[in-house]
Amino acid sequence: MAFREKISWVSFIATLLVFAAFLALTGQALSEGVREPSGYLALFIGAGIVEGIVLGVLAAILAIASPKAAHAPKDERELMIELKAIRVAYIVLIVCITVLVAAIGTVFPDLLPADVRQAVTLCGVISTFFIAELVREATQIFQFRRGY
Amino acid sequence: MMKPLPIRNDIRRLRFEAGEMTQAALAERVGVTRQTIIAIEQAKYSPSLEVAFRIAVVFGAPLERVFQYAPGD
Repeated sequence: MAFREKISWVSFIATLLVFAAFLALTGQALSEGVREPSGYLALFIGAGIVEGIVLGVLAAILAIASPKAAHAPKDERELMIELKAIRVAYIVLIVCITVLVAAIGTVFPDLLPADVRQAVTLCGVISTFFIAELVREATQIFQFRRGY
Repeated sequence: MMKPLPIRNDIRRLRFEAGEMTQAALAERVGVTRQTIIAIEQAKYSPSLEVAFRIAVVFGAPLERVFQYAPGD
C-alpha cells in the first residue's frame, strides 16, 4: 500500500471516530438541556485538537516506517487523486449546506423548540465539515484501491 | 467496471528487456511512485506527456515504442 494511501486510511478512521464521539457528546448535551452554542463550539474545537494530535502521531509513525516515501513529494497521479477527491467533497459540502439552510428555513421552526434551535443549527454546520472531510478521504481511498 | 484507457504501453516488456528492471527502479528513475508505474502498466492511468517522455528516455526508446494510442480497443 502506498504511503499516501495509508495516510488517507488513517485520516479517514480518525475523522470517523472523532465525528462519532462529537455526535455522541452533542446528543448527550442536548438531551441534558445544554443550550449555549459556545459549549458545542468548544466541543468542535476540542475534537479538532484531538484529531490533529491523533493524526500527527499516526502520521509520524508511518513516516518513521517509510521515511523515503514520507519525504518524497506527491507525484502527478497522487495530485490528481487529491484534486478529484476535493472536487467530490466540495459538491457534498454544497449539498449539505443547502439541505441545512432549507431545514433551518422550513422544518426547524416547526420541529425544534426555540431555545435549542441555535445549538442544533451549529451542530449541523459542524457536521457538514466532518461529512465533507470523510467524503474527501473516502474518495481518495477509493481511487487508490481502484488503481487509478 | 473501469472503462479501459485508449493508451496502451509496452513498459512491462521493456523493463524485462532492460535487465529485468523492477517497477520500483523505474519509478525512482522517472520520479514517480511504484504504484503510479503499476497503474500506468495496467493502463489504469495515463501519464502526463512529461512522465511519458521520461519513461521513454529511461528505456532509450522512442515514445511510440513505449506507448500506443488505440481508441476503441
